[in-house]
Amino acid sequence: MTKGYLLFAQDSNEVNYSKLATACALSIKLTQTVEFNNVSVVTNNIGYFDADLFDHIIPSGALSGMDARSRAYDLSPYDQTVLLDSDMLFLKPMDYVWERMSALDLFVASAPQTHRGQLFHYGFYRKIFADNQWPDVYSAWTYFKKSDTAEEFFNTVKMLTDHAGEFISLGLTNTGLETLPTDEAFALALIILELENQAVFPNWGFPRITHMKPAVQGWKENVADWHEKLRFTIDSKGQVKLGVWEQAELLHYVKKELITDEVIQTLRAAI
Amino acid sequence: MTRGCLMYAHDGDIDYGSQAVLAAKLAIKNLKIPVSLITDKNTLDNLKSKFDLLPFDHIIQVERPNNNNRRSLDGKSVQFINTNRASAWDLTPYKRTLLIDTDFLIFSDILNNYWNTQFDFLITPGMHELLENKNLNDYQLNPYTIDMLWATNILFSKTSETKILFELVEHIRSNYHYYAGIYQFNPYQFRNDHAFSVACHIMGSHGLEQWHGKLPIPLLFKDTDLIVDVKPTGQITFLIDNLASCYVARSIDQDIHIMNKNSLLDNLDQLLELAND
Repeated sequence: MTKGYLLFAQDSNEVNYSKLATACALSIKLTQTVEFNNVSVVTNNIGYFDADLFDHIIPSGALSGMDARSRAYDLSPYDQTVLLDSDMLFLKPMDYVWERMSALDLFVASAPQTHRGQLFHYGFYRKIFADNQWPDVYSAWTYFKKSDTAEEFFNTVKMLTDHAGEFISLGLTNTGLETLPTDEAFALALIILELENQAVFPNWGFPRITHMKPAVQGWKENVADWHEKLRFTIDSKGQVKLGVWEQAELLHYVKKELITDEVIQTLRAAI
Repeated sequence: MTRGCLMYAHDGDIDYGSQAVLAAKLAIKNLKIPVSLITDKNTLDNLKSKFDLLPFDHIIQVERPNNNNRRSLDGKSVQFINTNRASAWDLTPYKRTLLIDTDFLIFSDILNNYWNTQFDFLITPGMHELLENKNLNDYQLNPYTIDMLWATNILFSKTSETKILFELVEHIRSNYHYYAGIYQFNPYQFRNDHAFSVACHIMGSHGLEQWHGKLPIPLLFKDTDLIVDVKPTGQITFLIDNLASCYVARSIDQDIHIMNKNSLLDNLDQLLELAND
């Protein structure tokens, strides 16, 4: 069975997602064992990517943003896939997670933590999840096996996002949502298909995702940009520190500007 | 394995030697362990002139550290000498040592539960304050770096790892401004709490793991709190926040950290009575 990571890089005028996806792929090559370091990318900028780094560089065509991600099941070249957000860095081997996930058809991560390693639940940005007791899932790490269950899940996500306006007007008018972001769409699809107990395992406590939105870091002061308070450093081995805190878990850094050409060069050199 | 309590006392503007006698007698009474003192000649001479019998298992005489740390107490600037704590690993006569400040008074046996834990190094992670207006500088080095550990009481075994920890504390003391820059705390005066906090963070792979164990959090009486009554039953009454709104609080049979050294020394005789069997 083929296994690999799938990234989406839909470049816009504002964000060069291709650069982020490249950094993520480099961090995978740097930290994962050969069996678990395959990466493919779906992109609207196929000329950007290095064929040595990616197994498959898949054109996204007319799809954009969420439309593309909801097609992950159809677009993935692997039998077993972990769908990732591009603004993430791998900092340690994740083999153990694959071993646990392989028994499942679908798995969505639910163990976010602060940069200090403190787990949190229903963070500041998730009032709608808490109010409605939705599964507290993070689509930034979504595993799926080519299977009826996973296909049905992604078809439901597709249905929800394609008809987000209608769906919101039917039952989510008090939420303030105008579109359905990925995490919300994934949570709703899990509820609709009654898959929560088969695909979400908060008691596993892994994979941990260090989620760098400022308001979940436990700071008393309102901080708009975490990078104002924590210096991002990456050493020649690709080890990352945020302020004085060494990082080892999946780093969802959120702040896109962190990935400079210098960071890419550092990761390449580390490999 | 030998176990015992260790404390440092260097008289300056404050009579730390007398405090050490009180703290030692309470530790002996309530924990049933020997206590050793690290001190200098001048402080020892002062002690011998004040007490016929000293309660210490060992008295380890060292050179008086040369530092000019000062703090405000009762509106006056007073000197305190605290820069040689890192030598505890080398100087302790015990294999497992409870290292305490002389203003930490042991009125319970709760610390006896920590001699056989899995950790080779344990430290107090905070203090219980009676009022809510905490000074956050006493609980974190900086909101964006690390929480502060209190070096008021520490329990450690003599191992190669704890040796590294104490050497690291000395290294941090010697390069205090550098670490103050990294950890974003005020370097104006050396503070053991900061040095041990940074050292524990580094020993824990810069936050990836918790290297140290945690001792129980004692009750804190601040330097604006006054002891107003000591009963033979062991009940101690404090006037809390003497400079602003006043409250009365009583403590009995629990370990307390009294930062108002003047008030502690003003009530020394009554407190020493509580240390008698």
